[in-house]
Amino acid sequence: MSVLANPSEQQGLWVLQSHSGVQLQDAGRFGAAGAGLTQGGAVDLTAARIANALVGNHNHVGSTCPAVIEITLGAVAFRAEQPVLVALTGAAMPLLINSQPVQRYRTLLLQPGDLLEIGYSRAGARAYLAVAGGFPAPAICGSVATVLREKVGGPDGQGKAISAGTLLSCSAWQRPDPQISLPYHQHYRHQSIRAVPLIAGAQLEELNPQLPHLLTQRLFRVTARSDRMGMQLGGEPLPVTAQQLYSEGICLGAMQLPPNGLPIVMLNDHQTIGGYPKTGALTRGACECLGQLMTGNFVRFYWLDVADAVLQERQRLHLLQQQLDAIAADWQQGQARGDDNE
Amino acid sequence: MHGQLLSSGIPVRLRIHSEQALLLDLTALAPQGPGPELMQVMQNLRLQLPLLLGDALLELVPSYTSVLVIFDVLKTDHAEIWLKIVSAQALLFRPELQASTNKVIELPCYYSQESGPDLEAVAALHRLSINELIQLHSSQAYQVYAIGFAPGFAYLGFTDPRISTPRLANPRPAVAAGSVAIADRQTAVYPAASPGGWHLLGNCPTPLFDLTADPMLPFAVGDTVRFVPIERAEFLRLGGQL
Repeated sequence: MSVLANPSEQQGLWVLQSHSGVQLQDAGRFGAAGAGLTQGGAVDLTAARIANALVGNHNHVGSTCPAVIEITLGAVAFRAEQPVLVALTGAAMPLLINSQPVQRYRTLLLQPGDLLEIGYSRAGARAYLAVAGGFPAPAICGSVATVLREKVGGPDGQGKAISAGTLLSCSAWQRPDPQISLPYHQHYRHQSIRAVPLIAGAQLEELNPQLPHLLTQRLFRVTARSDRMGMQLGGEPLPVTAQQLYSEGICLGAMQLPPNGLPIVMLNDHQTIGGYPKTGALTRGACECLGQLMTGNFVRFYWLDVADAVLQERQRLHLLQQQLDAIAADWQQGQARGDDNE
Repeated sequence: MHGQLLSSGIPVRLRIHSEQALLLDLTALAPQGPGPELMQVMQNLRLQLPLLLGDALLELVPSYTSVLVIFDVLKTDHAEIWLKIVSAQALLFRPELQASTNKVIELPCYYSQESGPDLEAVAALHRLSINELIQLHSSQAYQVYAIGFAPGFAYLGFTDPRISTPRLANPRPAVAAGSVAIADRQTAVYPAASPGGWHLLGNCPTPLFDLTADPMLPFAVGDTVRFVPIERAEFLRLGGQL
């Protein structure tokens, strides 16, 4: 028997306060870039997967991820219309239930009428709210990821952010709080000056022979012109001489160098093709770190050989899978205890 | 493995794009720029790579002279993909093998000032009559070179050099869905209403892009497209909006 009731039209979470940076996201949309659709998905997919695991939504690295709410910078409030099991992960945003501070990275059982408030982030740009059973939404090319620019994804499939005054349908939780949590040392930890690896691109030295040196010697500032499409970095402009003739496919993490000499790192909602030359790329893991930086934070790059990058990425995903497995094991133990009591 | 590898005998360069992406650079196949032969190889890659790589393949993005391959790092890596491509080279890089896969898609277009508000200005710019402009635009086949900018937006090329047209100095805040447009020696149909900086010559009443359809677009990179001039009555009968 499922402990989750079916989502109902009248029941779920009322959105009391929201903004355009509050969006339904999952692991992203694949197989449609040939038609011009970007991948989208949670910028910090690690935090999104852990949020899901905490509330008992099974998910594995390298596969789909149930929908979560990506909250950029905070300032969101919900009211529960039914019992809902939730967890918040990612950036350190103050979290309150009925004005009482509660913890991130653990299950929280909201009762009907409870007010859940998420304040402005103290450290980190993006947090993830998961509910047991997930948020139902129409999948487009296998994903509910919201892409505002493409008018695709989200609760109604039309590409809208989650707006105040709407009711988000979700499943009711009909048991006590299972009290699942993640140890503190495994929480997202913010660093306002972050060093991330950069994989050299084929055009790097054609662009300017100084670039390999300059890119790793300078600190780059995260500017306010950053969004889910890309992180616009600031600082002293880099020299750029070459131009690309034909547009080509762009991947997550690609570092473009437009004529103004200020690098842009492509995040999840990047355009699918583009003509700016590229100096290289960040790994998926490095994109998650970069995407958590706030305006005014700094990033420094160091070179990483692509073969090492593959190994690092596999190791990172392996560790994440271990975390997800450990949380799933806690759930099984909790259920075993629950069965003993019945 | 570094930024790029030169192949042994294959006219393709592999460029590392990230830990989960590599670009197949086909410029050596088309020293004069992209054309029908290169597009046939692009077709082969688009159809064969999914079979070759299976579920390790996440995304293929063909564009002009390259194909970006995005893959699952848990299932494969650059070296393994390159080996598979080398071993399948006879299948992938011979343009004559699969000529039958190349589709020709005919798109009806109502060329007029009311459906293409730049028609007269573009004709005047090139010192052509409106009929000559329509004739030059609709009498040739175009290759789909890339799809991007917006979902379903296809870059078609290359037009007759006599109608090569610069972009608008001031892009329009709103271009109607279906607008047939021209910029430099490329032409396109706007799949949905959007801002746009291309000159507008007419409108295609056939909806091109449907998120819920499979495939979402009637054409892919490498296919061939022709515009067929239609009259106002036919345009309206096909569901065109003015």
